[in-house]
Amino acid sequence: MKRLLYFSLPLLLSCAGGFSDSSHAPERALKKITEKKIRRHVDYLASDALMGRDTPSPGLEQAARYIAGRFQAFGLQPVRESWYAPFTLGKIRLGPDNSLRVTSAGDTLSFRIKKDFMPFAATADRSISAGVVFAGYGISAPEHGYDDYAGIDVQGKIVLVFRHEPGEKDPASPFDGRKASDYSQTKYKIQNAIDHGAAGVLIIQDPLHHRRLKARGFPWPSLYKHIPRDAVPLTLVSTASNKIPAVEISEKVLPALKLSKSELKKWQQQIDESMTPASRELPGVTVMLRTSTDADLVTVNNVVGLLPGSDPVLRDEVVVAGAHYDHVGHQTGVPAEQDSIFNGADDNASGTSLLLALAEAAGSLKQAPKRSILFIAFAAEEKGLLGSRAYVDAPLFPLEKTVAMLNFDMVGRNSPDTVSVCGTTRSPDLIRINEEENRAVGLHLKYDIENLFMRSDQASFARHKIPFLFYSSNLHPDYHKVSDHADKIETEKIARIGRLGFRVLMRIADSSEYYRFTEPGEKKK
Amino acid sequence: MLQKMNRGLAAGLIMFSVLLLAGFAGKTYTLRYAPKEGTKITYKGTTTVEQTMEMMGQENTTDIAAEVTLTVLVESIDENGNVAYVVSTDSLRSTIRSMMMDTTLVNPDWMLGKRKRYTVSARGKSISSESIDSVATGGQLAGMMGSVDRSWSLPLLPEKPVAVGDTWSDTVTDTMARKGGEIINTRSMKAVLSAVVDTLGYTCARISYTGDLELNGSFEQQGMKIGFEGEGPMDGTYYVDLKSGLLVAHINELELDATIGMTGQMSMTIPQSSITKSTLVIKK
Repeated sequence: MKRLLYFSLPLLLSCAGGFSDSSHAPERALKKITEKKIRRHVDYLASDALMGRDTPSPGLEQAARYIAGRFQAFGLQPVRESWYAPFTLGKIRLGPDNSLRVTSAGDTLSFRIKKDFMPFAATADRSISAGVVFAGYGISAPEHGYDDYAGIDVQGKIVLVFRHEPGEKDPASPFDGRKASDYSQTKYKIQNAIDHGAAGVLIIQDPLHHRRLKARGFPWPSLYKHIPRDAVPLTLVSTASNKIPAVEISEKVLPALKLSKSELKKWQQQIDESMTPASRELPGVTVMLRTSTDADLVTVNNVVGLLPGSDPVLRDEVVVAGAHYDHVGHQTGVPAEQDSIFNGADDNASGTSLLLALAEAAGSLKQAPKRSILFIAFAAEEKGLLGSRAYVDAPLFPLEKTVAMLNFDMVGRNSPDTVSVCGTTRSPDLIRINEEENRAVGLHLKYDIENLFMRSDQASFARHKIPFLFYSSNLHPDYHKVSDHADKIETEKIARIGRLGFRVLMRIADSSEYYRFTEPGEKKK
Repeated sequence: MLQKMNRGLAAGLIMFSVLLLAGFAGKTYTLRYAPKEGTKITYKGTTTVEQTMEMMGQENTTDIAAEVTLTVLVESIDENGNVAYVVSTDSLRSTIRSMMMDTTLVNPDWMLGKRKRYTVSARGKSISSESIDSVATGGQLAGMMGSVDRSWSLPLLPEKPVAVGDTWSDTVTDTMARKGGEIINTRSMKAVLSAVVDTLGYTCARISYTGDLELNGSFEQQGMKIGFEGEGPMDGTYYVDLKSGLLVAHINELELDATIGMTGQMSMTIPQSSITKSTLVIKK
């Protein structure tokens, strides 16, 4: 039997396009991943001509065209007839008209912006007047059997909700307890109010854990003396038409709402102790709220290429391979003799080049794997993972059919035989697969970048509980400096990580297995 | 890869010791800082910081717990009564827990033994501050440890003699020059000599205080323009030995709300709130 297999191997290899010891990654495809091609990609993407690929910039657009052209040349397919998945970013400024007035028992009180109320960045450009309903923490969490909106009607009303979540800092809380879950984010609370038909949102600091209930909201630079006026981040701009005015109020507004801090404390304590909502209407109170914002909008592209799966059923499932192609641009006002361009050769021309190598190898397959593979070069990662956040907010394939995500960020520096992998706490199955596939590659695997988990695009997918692996060669002295040049990149290392990544990618894509996503501290059964 | 935030807020460290000259008639006390040259004092301190930052729509909490010992040397006293103190950290153990890190720091070399000189007037007004030893950057962790230093600030003393129950108030503004700008630290404080008590083997003046801290400024760092504004209430109690003029203990709580804005590689504004609780006790 052994002998037969021995003699049959060349025949098998030729039939299958040359399979290696792994039955999923054909040798012929693996050979497409070469140092020479990676060098060409890195040199182009990290060249001065692209001026550091800031988001947005002509250099970023040029890089996007280069990547799209390679995807096409490698035989991938566009998605929805395009190589680009556009999304809108904006610098939002506070508009001129913002006011908060409260009428109760015939008296109307006006409040001051910044001192008494502060609009959130997600607020609407709109004016409303409505009654107020206290809606606890503003959370609907069916998995915890908890819903602040149960039994109350907030249609057309303004809801008043606490920041944070029940059982803050209580390890016994059904929520995360020790750390805040997504339910505690103000963005979620505003959206949940919209989903329940509310006309506006007043958020107030939770009184049990804070001595002062300040109106923090969004710190609009125009309201501060020492904050640079252009210190406004690019943010994902929702084009939704159902946005509502949303502000944080200080404790100074409470008397006008016929409330006191001690009363709110009592309600919060009641909720926390019983995990039962204490929502109620605030009778006899009308709030008139006006918020306004301006925005400079810009459209930016993620670049996408698809290798459709070969299995009639599993082809609806997708494995994402990603790398961000943007960097931080260039400095102005620097003497001509000084380097002013942040070339971002390692961050992340290296990962983008690896992604292109994977795309070329995948595109060369005679038989596609069962599942589809979606290659995504993300924009605006350096602005706060905005490209990957835009993708998961509006995915090209359903997230529930996205079985895994592999991310490559800064893979061309430090020890040539080593790659750092993140995923041990959240994606144990993929970590095991990676280790098994690495036997044929022989890289030294290090698990020392869990602390970088939040700092690259896999974090956007992990928030949707999609298993991931994040490959990196870790930080180095040229990180985010003008000295991150292409000549410092070790293309042999990128090629080796690429061969490992390709094996893992093919193994996942050619499988019908599903992989666990575990939260840190959760038992990995 | 997304760059981690540099938090440029640096806390002013004001060190001085106390000599209380008793005004015997009517049990009043004239409070002045005038220790003996060459006096060396060791303190043990604990600090907890609960910090909340909102970045890119995400609210993240960081908890810091630190234990520290430091030495204060009374280096010199000039003819005007201004006292130069040299302060150095002997040991530090700190745990930092957040979504982005779970770290224990033990005696970091960028902090240990590095001396700073603080010169204050006899009433405690800051005259100058400087680093004696070059300090290698500790990055973000060093920024976080800045909050540990706050436990060693002391009150501005009253001009006139005071009796138990007497209050005084003052506002102290320190301006620290930084590249491309300055940081202005303003402390408004109302203090009361609340008692004379025996504690930790010393007969102490107990000085209780409430007040507000304001931190404003702008500067440049790594090609970025950074501006910040912060303010918040503080309260605490100092215990001062009547005979030796030493600070025996200090309990402090500070709640600070700040906004940090930056432009350059990254443009963003970050609201930040922190509650710092600290105790400092003379080491026997």
